[in-house]
Amino acid sequence: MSTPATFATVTSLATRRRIAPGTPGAMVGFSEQGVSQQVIGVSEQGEPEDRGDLGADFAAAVASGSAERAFEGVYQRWSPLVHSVARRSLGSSDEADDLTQRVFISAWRSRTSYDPAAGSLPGWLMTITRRRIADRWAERARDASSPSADPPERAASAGTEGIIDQMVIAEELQRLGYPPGEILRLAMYEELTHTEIAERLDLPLGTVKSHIRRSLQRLRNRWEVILDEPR
Amino acid sequence: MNLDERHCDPDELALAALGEPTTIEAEHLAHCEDCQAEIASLRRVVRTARSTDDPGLSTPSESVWQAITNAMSIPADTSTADTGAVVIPMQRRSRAPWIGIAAALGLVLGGIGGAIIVQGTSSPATVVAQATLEPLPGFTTRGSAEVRSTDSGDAVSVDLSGLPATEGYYEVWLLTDDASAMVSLGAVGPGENSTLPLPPGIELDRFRVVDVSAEEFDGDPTHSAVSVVRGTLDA
Repeated sequence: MSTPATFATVTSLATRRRIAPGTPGAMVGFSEQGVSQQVIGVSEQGEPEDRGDLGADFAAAVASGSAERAFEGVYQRWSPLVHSVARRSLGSSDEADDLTQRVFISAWRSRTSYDPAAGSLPGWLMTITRRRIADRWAERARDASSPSADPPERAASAGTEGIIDQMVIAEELQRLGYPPGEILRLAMYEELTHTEIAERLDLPLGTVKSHIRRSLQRLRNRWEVILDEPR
Repeated sequence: MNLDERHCDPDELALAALGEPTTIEAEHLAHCEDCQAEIASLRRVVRTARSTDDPGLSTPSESVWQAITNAMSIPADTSTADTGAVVIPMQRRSRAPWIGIAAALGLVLGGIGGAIIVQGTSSPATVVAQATLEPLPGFTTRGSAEVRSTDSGDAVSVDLSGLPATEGYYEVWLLTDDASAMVSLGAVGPGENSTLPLPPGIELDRFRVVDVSAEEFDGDPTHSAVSVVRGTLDA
């Protein structure tokens, strides 16, 4: 629950992680975030310097017994991720609205169970999201009038895992801002080469290349920290 | 890792992960686990990102947060007795003073056409307060509630239409404005006009919000935090 514990977790992740050759210490976890936000100017609303996920603040607010405002911040920050995962898994915006509501009500009720030392706040929210989606699939299976109704639950939940990964990355990419976010978007989703990107955005080749590398490393690190997986 | 070893340009490793042709020296890469691992871990990000045709994010509609705050305003662990629980206020309502003493004085108030004498009960009942019950986000149920004063005590009559079918039941509550305290009045069925006795001595100018919750037969006597309709009693 305490801030030192948060640091400890992040540090262990960072030390576990391989440091890229030629960039000693410039890219891991925490410090990387500070550096890249300065360089890239990502942070518009000035998030606290924890994991950048509001988790430490939220846990502190819960501990103080008055977490309503912090929870609203958590909702604003993380509801698009929950909603996007739900929309893809369940197929409609209405269903995603309903699921988002269920997830955050569950989160609120079990708020004292969130321990920043045990994992990131979005990771915790994704755990709840997985469960609520599984509930929803189970409801659908029960409601299905036709015995041949599909899809099987296991396939659905396996699908959810992949969707969570996709959306965590998409969400972090969106937060990179301009130009790094746009550069990497063109490289990853539009599959343009760095030369094509440099031409399209009228930027020097070297700038584009170093943005691609930094952003890609950042997404990898954020992905690991959020889902707490040493991949 | 041997720091003297000449590794690949990290920018080139990132390009390789994206599938671009690079200037990476094949011979070095073939023997360097560090460079291979760097490419592999970045490639996982790229591959995962590209595994969706639609990376666009969506946001929940406005009503979702309203529904959540509605649920938050009623702590699931609150007992039906008064508690000092910290809760966020429900949406602000006009602060027109509710004239709780009207009942005692037997006043007939203007604006609602005077006192209503309810037929068919053992003693004449005077409507001393009423509330229009509006659906909370996610519901379409509407209804009304009336506080009636009779010789044998006060009661709330609740009339609801459009209650969704449930495997549980619905429960009527009186809440304070900030939902920091609540009193259970009893269960109601769908489509029914139910009359529930009020606990003698309840301060209706304090517990002036009528709330109907969806409950399950889970043996938990507290509010489920799922409210269907709400309205503020008004004299």
